[in-house]
Amino acid sequence: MIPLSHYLIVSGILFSIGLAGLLLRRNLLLVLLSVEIMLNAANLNFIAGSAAHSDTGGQVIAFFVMVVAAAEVTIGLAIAVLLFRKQSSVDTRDISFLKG
Amino acid sequence: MILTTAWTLLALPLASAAFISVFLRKSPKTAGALATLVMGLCFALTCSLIAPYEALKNEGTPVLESSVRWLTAGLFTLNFGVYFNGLTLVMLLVVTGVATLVFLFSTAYMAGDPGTSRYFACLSFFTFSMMGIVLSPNLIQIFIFWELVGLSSYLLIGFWFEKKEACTAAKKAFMTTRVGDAGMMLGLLALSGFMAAGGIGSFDFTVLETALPSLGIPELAMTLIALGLFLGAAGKSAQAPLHVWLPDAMEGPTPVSALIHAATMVAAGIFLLARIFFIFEASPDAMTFIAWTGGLTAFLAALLALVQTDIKKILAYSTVSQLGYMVLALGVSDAQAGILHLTMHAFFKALLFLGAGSLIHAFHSQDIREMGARVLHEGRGSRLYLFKALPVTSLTFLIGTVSLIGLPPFSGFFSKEEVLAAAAHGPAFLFGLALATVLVTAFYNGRLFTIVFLPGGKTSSHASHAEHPLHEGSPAMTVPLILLAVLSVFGSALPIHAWLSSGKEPSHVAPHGLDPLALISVGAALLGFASAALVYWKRSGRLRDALPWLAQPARVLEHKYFLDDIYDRWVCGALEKKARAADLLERYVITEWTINGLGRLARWIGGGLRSFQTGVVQFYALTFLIGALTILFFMTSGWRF
Repeated sequence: MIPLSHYLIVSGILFSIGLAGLLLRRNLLLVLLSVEIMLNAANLNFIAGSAAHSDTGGQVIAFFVMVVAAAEVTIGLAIAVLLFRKQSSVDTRDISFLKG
Repeated sequence: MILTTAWTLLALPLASAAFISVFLRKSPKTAGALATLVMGLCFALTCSLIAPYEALKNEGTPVLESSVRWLTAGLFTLNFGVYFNGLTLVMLLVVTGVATLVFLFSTAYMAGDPGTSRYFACLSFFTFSMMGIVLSPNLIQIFIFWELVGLSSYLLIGFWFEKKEACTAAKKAFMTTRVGDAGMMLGLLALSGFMAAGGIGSFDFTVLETALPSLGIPELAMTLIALGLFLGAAGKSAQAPLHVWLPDAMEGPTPVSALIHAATMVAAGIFLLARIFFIFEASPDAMTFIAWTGGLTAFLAALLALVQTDIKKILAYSTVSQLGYMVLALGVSDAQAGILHLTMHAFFKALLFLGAGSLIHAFHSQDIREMGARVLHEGRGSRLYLFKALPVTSLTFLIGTVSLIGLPPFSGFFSKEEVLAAAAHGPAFLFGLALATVLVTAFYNGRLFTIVFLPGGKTSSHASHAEHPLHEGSPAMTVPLILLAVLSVFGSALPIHAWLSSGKEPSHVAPHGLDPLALISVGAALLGFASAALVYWKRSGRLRDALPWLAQPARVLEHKYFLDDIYDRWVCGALEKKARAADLLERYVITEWTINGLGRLARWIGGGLRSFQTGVVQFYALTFLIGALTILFFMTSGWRF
């Protein structure tokens, strides 16, 4: 039986990897991937909690997260495609329309 | 029926003004025709009121009133309506009658001016305001229309606003009359205070007239109230020392001078005095003051007319002088004589101004000496040349002149005779002044007439405008002249006294024939005119070159008793200092530091915040992370708000 803390540590490592990727990668696709990794870190947390407390609620939430992640990545990829059409680049440094 | 017509009369010119300014901006000919037609309709309506009014008066109801409640403030209720009695009828006839002729004259005089539509809109609006004054049933409504008249006068004096003098003159007229209006407002306020104390809540003349004696106003207060109201009238009717705006107002188009500054607007002050005569009668001191103001104005203004060379300015000072006569008549308690002179003066002064307009139209100059020189030049020495070249203008101008100096049987003679007869009951000095004014009036008119119409002396070569020979204007210009000339001759046949007498008091004594007073005044008028004709028969220039001792008095007159300089230095100068201080306060403290300061503060803060908006999405993610961590930190550390 693997203790809960191990799951939480792996989840934390995954979340940190995802966060670092989100903040540091310059390619929009990889940024989206990083977001997915962070979501899956959260999922891992839910599943581990569910198993440890014998409560199926965590698994239900995990399914919801997957559905939302699928929707999110659809929109995110669509934005990436449009951006590429617009300025032939998916570099995050080129996305500066919000500059004040 | 009368009251319905009265409401219509009030509405028509306003509708005409509105319609012209909205729909007819681009079609000046239609605008002029419409305005003239509407004014003619107003005159016809007014004439149709004469018979019903006389019938009503024979039944013993000489006063009609119809009003709607406008607003209520505590004890006071304010009505808006129309009020009709004999005085209203006479004034309506004068205003609409003279206005119709002036409108007709204007269609020819203003032809080709780019602002003709605006001109007719303003002129219609002016007539509306004037009718509002005449028809007002209460003092507050009079005051409102009083200001509207001031406004339309401002618009018309400054009609050629690209000319700097016109703008200045318009401002001067507006502000000078404001001084009077301030006095009027103070008088009204003081009166309303006593009315509130006495439980009277209405400014209606009918209420006020019966209630005034029961209010128990102390004599001094009554005098001050009357003087305040008189100040308003003096501003509008150009009484000394507030007369300075009227001669400058001649910068406006000449028909405007004829309508506003001779026939109607300046008559508003006289009308107000007559309308609320019961207030003035309650204060003998105020009446004395009014009589003296009128007498002095009449004499001093007539003297000023002696040295002017601009034909319109001469007529303007003549108007001031004649208004002084009217005020004098009212001041010695003869309101009917004052109103009679107002009516006759409206006829012959409108005639003279329109005649001057016709001359200006022909000569393209307002200087009487230039006119005379040109007549001499074109007529090759023939003295009566102008009568051949401009027969209608010359003859009607002669009629107007004779009527103004008061020779029988012209209308001016009868009204002036009544004023003099009234003045004879007043202080002897005032009566003497009034007689002397007759002499001076005849002299400056003789000077004007001789120099322009009967020029003599050597033909000067420098006056050469021979490319356009002098010619009469179109019928739209000559017909009003002829009609006004007819009125100037036969105007005294109108039953003005019968209309004015309210039935309560015995009817006024009809003008008497050749009594000693009439002989004296006619003699003075003839003497003045003849001596002027004699003096200017051979010369077109300055009398003081021949008589050097006249130089000093003439200098004083040319500087208009230095009144303008005094006003400039003591009134305008003092006000300018205050205005500059206020300007500095506004410019720096209010605008620069407060308003702009707040704006700069907002920009400065915004500039700082702006640097956070880098546009790099990952920077936003980082900020978000920091924010989330901060919240998390506070939530876990147990920190409570």
